[in-house]
Amino acid sequence: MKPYKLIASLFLVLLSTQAMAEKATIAAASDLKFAIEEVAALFEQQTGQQLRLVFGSSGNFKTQILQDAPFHLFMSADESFVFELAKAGKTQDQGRIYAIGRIGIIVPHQSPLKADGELTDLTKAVTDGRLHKFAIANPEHAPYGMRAMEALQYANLWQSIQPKLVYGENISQAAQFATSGSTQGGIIALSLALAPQVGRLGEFELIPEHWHQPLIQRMVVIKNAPPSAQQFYDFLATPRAQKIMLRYGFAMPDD
Amino acid sequence: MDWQALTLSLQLAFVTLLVLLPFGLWLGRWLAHTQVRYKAWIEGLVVLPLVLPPTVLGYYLLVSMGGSSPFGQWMQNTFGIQLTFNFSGLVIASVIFNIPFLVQPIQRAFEAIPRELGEAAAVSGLSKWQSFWRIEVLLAWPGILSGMVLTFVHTLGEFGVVLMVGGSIPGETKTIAISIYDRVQSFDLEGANQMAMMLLALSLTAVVASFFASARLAVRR
Amino acid sequence: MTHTSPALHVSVEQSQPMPLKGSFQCESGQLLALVGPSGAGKTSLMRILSGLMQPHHGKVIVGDEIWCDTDNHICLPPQRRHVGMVFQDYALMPHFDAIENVSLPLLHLPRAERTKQAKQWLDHVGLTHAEQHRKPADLSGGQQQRVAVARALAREPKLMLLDEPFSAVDQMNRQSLYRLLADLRRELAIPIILVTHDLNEARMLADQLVVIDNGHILQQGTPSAIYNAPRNARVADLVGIHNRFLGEWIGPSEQSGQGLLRWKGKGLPLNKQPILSVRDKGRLPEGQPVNWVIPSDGIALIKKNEIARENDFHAEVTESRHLGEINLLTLTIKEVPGAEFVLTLSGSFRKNLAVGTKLGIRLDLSLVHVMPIRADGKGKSKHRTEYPLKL
Repeated sequence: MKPYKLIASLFLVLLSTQAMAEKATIAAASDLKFAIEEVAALFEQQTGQQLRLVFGSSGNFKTQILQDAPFHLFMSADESFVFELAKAGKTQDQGRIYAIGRIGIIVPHQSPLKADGELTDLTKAVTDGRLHKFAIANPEHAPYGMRAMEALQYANLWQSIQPKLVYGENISQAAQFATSGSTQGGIIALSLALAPQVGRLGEFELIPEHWHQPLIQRMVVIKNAPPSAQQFYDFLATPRAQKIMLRYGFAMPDD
Repeated sequence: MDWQALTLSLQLAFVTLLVLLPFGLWLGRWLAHTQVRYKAWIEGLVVLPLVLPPTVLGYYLLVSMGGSSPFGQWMQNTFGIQLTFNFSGLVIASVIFNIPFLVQPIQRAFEAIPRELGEAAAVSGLSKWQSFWRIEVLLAWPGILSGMVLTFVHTLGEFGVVLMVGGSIPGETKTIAISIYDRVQSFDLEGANQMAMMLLALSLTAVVASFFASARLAVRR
Repeated sequence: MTHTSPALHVSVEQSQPMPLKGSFQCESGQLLALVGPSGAGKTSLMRILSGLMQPHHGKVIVGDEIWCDTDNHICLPPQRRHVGMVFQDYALMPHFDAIENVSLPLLHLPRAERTKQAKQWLDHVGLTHAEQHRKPADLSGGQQQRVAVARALAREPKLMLLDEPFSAVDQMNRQSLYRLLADLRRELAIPIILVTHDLNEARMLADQLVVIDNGHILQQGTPSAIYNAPRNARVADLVGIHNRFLGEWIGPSEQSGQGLLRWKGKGLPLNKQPILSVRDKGRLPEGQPVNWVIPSDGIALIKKNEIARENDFHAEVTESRHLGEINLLTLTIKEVPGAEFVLTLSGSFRKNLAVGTKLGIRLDLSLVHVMPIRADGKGKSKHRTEYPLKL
């Protein structure tokens, strides 16, 4: 290849990736992994608009958006992150609550633990040596991790179980750890447990709702987003989208 | 199989090499010949990305290239390019963390060329440029090649820095290594396995091929 | 050849990075050998001549071209000097065959012409057509050197530099390379500088010797001039004159042009010290301590019963080293304790000279060369047991 051609193609590569940035990029909390993939597929099918989905922990997304990461719609698992971004002037408005999440305990097949929502068997297992490792999401930046911590505190388990905890980067990784067989179980999102990919790996039972702060999940459109971001934001309020969300165990806000 | 991520990784590896190679040749050759007192410091800086945790490198890149940093602002205002969380930023990060992988083999290769050969070329009337292309590059070629292959393969495999500055956006910053990580998290072990195998085969082939090529290219003395 | 000025004139003075001081010149068509121990600065001088190194202070003039004149801030790079240089290890490009190596100085020519000329040069130095297509690793040391010579010639040099060119070549090839060098000298009307530590080689090949030690150019002259009249004890040591003795200059004798030299021996009372009548150049004050030397041509072995004259002495063989064709003989002198002669002998005569043999030695006093010992110690021997002569 002639040198000028090489340089030209280099620029093409750079330009093309710049142009690709016009597709709306959705930064979604990991508990939405399976639910939003389904909603987005429906949206793309109905509107012909392509979306790019990125899943991760809500806290990390918040930090990245503060650093001007090119995300257009932020679907947080927790309200506070959205409010922080709004305060920093990164968002169009305060956004809207799109779902309320739930957590529960998952125990893989062949685990000596019982899937017990009141965590009584877990409490016993901590002391009788059946429990070696237990997975939750990182409470520092993952809302599902914070709620798991609160539930464990409510059950008076937090102090004793801490040496056995492994932390997932986000709730999706926590679920992966919890079901991999390397741990005896973990606390994960209901929405993930209802996905067949996860559900078939173990037994799941919900933890009582009042044991922790509610998982009020809020989303917001980031400033200068392409129109399709707003369209998807609106699409999530349609009955067809809501039906999918309900199927994944999300409660809808009563507004 | 995430072909988009694979393509992106290959693109990133090619562009990184393209940008880094001229600089690597210059720096490697300079380090091989220079006797300046601060040489050890330069060599230390070159090796730094090798010994530093990728997260440290990623953190500093994020801070220095971000929209609120002077460099980030300058790039944004002058070229309209945002460096963090997009491909250009990934290229910059990739160029920096690959410096030791390219420069060190090149430096060793140039060091192995006896000084008299360059002198003989000069006395024979060859200009520095002629001497560089006709003598030095040809003799250093095995080292240059292995540096290039290492850089290429290492770019395909780099995870930490890319995760820090990239943000794992499909088609933009989601490289194959990140994609494997994502697949594992989304309970798609089969997909992860396919890509991991692909990366393993690709890397092994490239490295082994470069060893064969180096052995063939090496000039008997 | 009648040149008004020498074809090559070099003068240099610097203290960094290595001390160098002195000057020498060389006529066109002459071969000048730079001799001295390793580390003396021979290679540095070569690098200054070729332009690979810039002297701190110095001048290099070749014909009517000024290659380097630090006073006027001139120093041409090697690319602009037209120097033919044969490196110590030849410095052939390992990735090129012989033809490509010789083509290097011809890059300004079109490719076909380049190859044609390179082949001609290789023919000229006697490389066969098959050998011309081989890479250096597939050529013998002698063949590699011929390629290196051909490459130097292809540069169309105005000055030829040969840096220890024979050091890596075995004796058989060396003979044919000497012939090659002799041919070159006849063809090339340019100065040829040869760096060597082999004094036999230097004497045999060179028109001029330049003796260098510790960065100082000590003496320039024809080999015989230097051997017969080394400037000082260090030069005598460096050129391998072993027969050097201590003495004291007494003063002119009654005979005109002659002077008297007292040969000092260890612990010898003054009245027992032999007095030698030697040539007097009228330069030395009376009572001046001196070194004196005598070349081997001036030393003859005689039978014990032939000892008769004042220049005959009693000698005893104290060491006889057999070195193939020659014998290295060490003799002590009865009249002068501590004085030792070292001689190389060949022929059948040597067989009779076992250790302990007593015989006589006759000195040709007209060949004695006297060198003052300077008070600053510069003329003093450093008493190194060093034999630069290749054994």
